[in-house]
Amino acid sequence: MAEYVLEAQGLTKFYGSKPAVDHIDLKIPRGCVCGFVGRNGAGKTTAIKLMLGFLKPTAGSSRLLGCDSQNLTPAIRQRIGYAAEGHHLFRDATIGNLAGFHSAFFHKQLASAKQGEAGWDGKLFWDMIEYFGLSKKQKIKKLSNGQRAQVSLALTLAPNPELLIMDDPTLGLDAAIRRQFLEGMIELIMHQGRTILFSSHILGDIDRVADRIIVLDKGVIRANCTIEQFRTAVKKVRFVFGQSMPETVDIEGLLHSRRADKELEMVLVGTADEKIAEWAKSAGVEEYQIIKQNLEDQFIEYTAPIGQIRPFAWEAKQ
Amino acid sequence: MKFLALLRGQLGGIIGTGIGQIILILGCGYFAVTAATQFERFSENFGSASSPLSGVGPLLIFASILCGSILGLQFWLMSYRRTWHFLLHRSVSRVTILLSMITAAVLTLVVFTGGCWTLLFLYASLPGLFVLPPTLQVYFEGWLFISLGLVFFMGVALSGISTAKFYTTKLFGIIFAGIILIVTFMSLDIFRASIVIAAGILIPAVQLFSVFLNRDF
Amino acid sequence: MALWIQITPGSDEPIYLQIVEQVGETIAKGQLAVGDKLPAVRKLASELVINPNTVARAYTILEQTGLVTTKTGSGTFVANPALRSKDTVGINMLADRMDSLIVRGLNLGLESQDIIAMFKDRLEKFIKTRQGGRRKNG
Repeated sequence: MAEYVLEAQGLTKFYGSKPAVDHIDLKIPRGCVCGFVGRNGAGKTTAIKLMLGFLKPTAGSSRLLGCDSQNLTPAIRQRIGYAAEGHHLFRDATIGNLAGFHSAFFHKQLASAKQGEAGWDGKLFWDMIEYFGLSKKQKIKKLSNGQRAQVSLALTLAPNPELLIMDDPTLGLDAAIRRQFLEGMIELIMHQGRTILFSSHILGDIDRVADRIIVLDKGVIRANCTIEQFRTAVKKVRFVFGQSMPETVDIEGLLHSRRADKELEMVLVGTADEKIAEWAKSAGVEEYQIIKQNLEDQFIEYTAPIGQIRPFAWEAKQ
Repeated sequence: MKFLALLRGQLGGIIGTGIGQIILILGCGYFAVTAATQFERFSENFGSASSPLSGVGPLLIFASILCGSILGLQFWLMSYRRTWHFLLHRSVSRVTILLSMITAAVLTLVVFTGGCWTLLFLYASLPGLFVLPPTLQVYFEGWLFISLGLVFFMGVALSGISTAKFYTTKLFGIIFAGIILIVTFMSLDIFRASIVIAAGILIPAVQLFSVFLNRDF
Repeated sequence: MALWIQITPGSDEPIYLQIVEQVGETIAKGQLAVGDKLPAVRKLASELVINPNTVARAYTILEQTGLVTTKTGSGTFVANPALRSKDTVGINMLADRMDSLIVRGLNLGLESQDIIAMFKDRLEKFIKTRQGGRRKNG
């Protein structure tokens, strides 16, 4: 079996003169759960569509399960589960219709599917539908967004896909349904050799479920590492100066900094604690503190535009 | 198996449109034929001999174009409803998917529109109904009208799938179908009309495949 | 058995550390005795809705600090405290925490003796509760 289930080399997509995706290189190994994050408009959906062969790249290439994205064979597509943004399904069909339609593209029984082929697990599908409180005869157009997402999840997971790609699966869903999505993903992870790539705006979910985090910023990959590496690397430090602050700051790994009165707040990437202590000493810092952050805080700091002004504050009432 | 599933996926549209065709053609057609029988008796006295089903002609053209257009509208709806990705991420080739949609259109036109036309023709051919029953040529002409439905299916589908930004370019498929329609009626005989219609089906079909297989979704 | 582990996702504390601390706390309180079995990695991951690797990581760290032992095929069990290796990192962290408690106490205006007395008092209370817990389980 291929070692990397998802690969991209220099993958680029231009819309007009602007690159939505700019020379992306990726290698995702089998069994990895990757959180794909980025600000709105960073290019996540474009990247995913390129990898699934829905878009033609302006440059570069990508491969899924060893097969070129632009020429995905039916056999390979069968092994890839895909949940598109918005979970759009045929509106006039019933859940039963969709199950019949979807299942026709896989082997009838999970058990009789040959090695490397996907089989439809009807029991899992209907168990999930029942768990969600839905029924066979319901028409898709009568379902709420959340219910439609549930159906989409059931459809995507039932064939037990080897590679699961989900584009913002929990967008607009309430906390309970989001939890169900995570549970479904965890169940899939338990199966050997399943790889998941999912994009999300909810960093808390990524923290729970993912092994790796890939940060896309304006079409460029700015981070591709384990969650732990990311969490250790991105540091926010507050320095308090007794007297004067240095005009320029020169420390390894500085991403951006903010000044206020006698305080200097820096966001550092990959800077060792010793280096921070060293710099603090040499700059005449009175005291400093490495601020504890969760993954969401770190993501926000990491993707903040450099030189960003602090958010506006209301004028204090006289 | 998979192809059948693709067809079954379109069943809703097929049956819905099909029932509409039945109501339209058999319903209105029946009245048209009945009126024609009256007219025949009337015109007998004046010596003019028009085809007994001449009233049904325009009805059939209208119904066929309507049928083809409704089925071609799918290509617009799927973009609007963003369901392309669900359909395209199947373990079948894109060609197969497009073929299934074309097959569905052809089936609807043949089974429903064509079936109704045949029934109507047989009814009009019943002995004793008309002094001059309709000829086989009329029957064949009717099928030509039905294939205009396929011309419009191709045109509407092509427009729907087109990624052109300018309206005129995007609607080219439909405009082309309209032109084919006009040229068909300007044709002097059935043979020339058939050629025009065949072109009206094949040319957009080639374009349809080309765009469908190559465009970004 | 697994009900007593709760994680706060989106916290500034990594999830695996939360698990390590909670297991450690439960063992310290005597709610888990030597030889008791920890929930299986998959079961805990399923219940907490987190990646099984995170649970595995926590268990590995617990094993490294000698709090638990893993027997392949059987599971993870609370280890005999006598066999725990010296966890210098853990002891250093403990020292740091003690420092912050001392700072707080002094800031509140307490004298050194008061701080020591308070600490003794809390420790005695804790051991009493633990023994009580043990009797319940025993």
